[in-house]
Amino acid sequence: MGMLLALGYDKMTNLHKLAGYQVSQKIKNQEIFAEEYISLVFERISNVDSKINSFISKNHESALLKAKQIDKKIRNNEKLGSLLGIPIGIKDNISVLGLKTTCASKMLQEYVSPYNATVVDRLEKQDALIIGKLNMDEFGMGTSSEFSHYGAVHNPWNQDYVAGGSSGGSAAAVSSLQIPISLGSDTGGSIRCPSSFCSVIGIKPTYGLVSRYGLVSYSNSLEQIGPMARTIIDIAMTLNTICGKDSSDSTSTTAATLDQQFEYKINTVDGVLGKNYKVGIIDNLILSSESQVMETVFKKIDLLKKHGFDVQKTKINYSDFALAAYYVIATAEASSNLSRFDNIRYGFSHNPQGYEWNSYSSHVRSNFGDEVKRRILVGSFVLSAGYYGKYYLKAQKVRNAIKNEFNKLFKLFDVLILPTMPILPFKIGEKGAKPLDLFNLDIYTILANLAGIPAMSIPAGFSKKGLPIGLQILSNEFNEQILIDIATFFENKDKFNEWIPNI
Amino acid sequence: MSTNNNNDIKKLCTLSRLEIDESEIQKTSDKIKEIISFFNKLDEFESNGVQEIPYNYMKTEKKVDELRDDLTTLNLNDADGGGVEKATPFSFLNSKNGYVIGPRI
Repeated sequence: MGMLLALGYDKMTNLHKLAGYQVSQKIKNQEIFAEEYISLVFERISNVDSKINSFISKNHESALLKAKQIDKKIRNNEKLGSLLGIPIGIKDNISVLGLKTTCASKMLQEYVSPYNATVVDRLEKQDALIIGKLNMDEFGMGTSSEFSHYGAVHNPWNQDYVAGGSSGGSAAAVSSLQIPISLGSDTGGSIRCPSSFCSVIGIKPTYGLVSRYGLVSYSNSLEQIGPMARTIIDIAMTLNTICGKDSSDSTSTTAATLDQQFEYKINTVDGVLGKNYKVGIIDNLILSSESQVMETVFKKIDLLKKHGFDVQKTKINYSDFALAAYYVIATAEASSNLSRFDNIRYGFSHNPQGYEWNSYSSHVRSNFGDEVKRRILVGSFVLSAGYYGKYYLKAQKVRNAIKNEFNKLFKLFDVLILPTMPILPFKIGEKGAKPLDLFNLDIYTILANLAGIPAMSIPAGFSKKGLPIGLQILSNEFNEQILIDIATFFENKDKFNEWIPNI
Repeated sequence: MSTNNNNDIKKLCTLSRLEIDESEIQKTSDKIKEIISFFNKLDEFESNGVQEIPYNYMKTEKKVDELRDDLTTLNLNDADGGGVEKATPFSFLNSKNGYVIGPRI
């Protein structure tokens, strides 16, 4: 621990403010030991997380062991991974071998994963440290991270407010400088909403770009795993690590483009400007957002114009049907996916002896939270005999119409811009009495999930009260590089990576 | 969900293998009706000419020769003997003499 003295106390205490790639470089250059850094991260977590509630379980012993191994690898001049010594938090619906995967549900409170998700294997192969499992809405069903068996996640910018959801723990842990990078999952905005509310970057990749093997399914035709971080370099590095073909997830293999190797780059601002991207402004949606959100988004658009981007107004049709279609599909798939939780294969200890099959199943499944129960019931309803054509089939048609809309728009534009969320973060407990009040908040984010296209939320600014506002950028399928380029432009101009909450 | 009859919700509970407390039935029923009536907006969607076929990249069919061989990887007889635990930390919640205990069928 001699390094600690050499570096000076100040530099050590500020390490948690650095991005993952910066810390990794320092470890590689032997300016700091991986063991020292991870110990500081543990300290930061124990000082801060009592106010945020972002972690459900911790993996500190194993992360420390891994850090020591990394230090040894450096001493021995062994080959080093691209995420060397970076602590990464994992949303609690993604499997990590030997750790609990609760999905923030009472139903799975004792379930320990018997294998690693592909994304976790890939992170560990690049020498990242899996530091713990992050809080969320139960099974990913929510927009505020209030529907958790482990309590609500608090927004680091104002702890009376929600962190957004469902990957609220993933966003809040990164925003509050506990860890530099996390993984979330996004079914209808679950990465982008909390990224917007907590002022971090989050990307939902193209459907099929990242393996879902080891992700607990909620609505499998909509969801993707994606990284969340404070800098675009960390996002690109993590995405490079987790993306690509996986034989364990058949939906990751069918797109022909996946046969190629993906390697996302960080271009210079001049390089980005030189690409002459055509930007479409989804006017009808921007105008329906809250005034402070709208003003902030227009400021970003002005910045693009000022730097010579070709910016034009456009609109997207059928968006008024999209939300209903999304919730029909999501609940239908949820009712089917969650039927596996019979408490015989996974769940909590409750001896089935003496029970009849149906009564045991109903009895143990009453441990689902209210929101999850509602979505299962609604899903069973829309799939029930006689209603299939009225709801599910109709929803699939809307889905295809939305996809066609995007196909048309991406013939004219490289990138589309709209707000991530229609409103500002709200107070914990303020919404939720009516299910539709929360559903309506997903109106801008579900579009990308229905169409399977990539979407990113980046920090755009703050309300008068200091609450974060996010900008959403969309591109055509497998064009993640364009999103990274646009984010690089804004990060360079706005320096949003330096916007950190006082906590 | 056409009437105020709570039998509808009880039927759905049976289909979904869920228990809802008697005291919660009315509240749950109201919320579900709110969601379903929102779904009825889809009736206004003119679907002439729009296909419901999912996109190509969501198809999951694979050629048979692309699939892995059908190998036994988990031996339930070892569930109590540590065989499964040795390979993974996985264990069934309730097992006895190598069998998984379930409710009566």
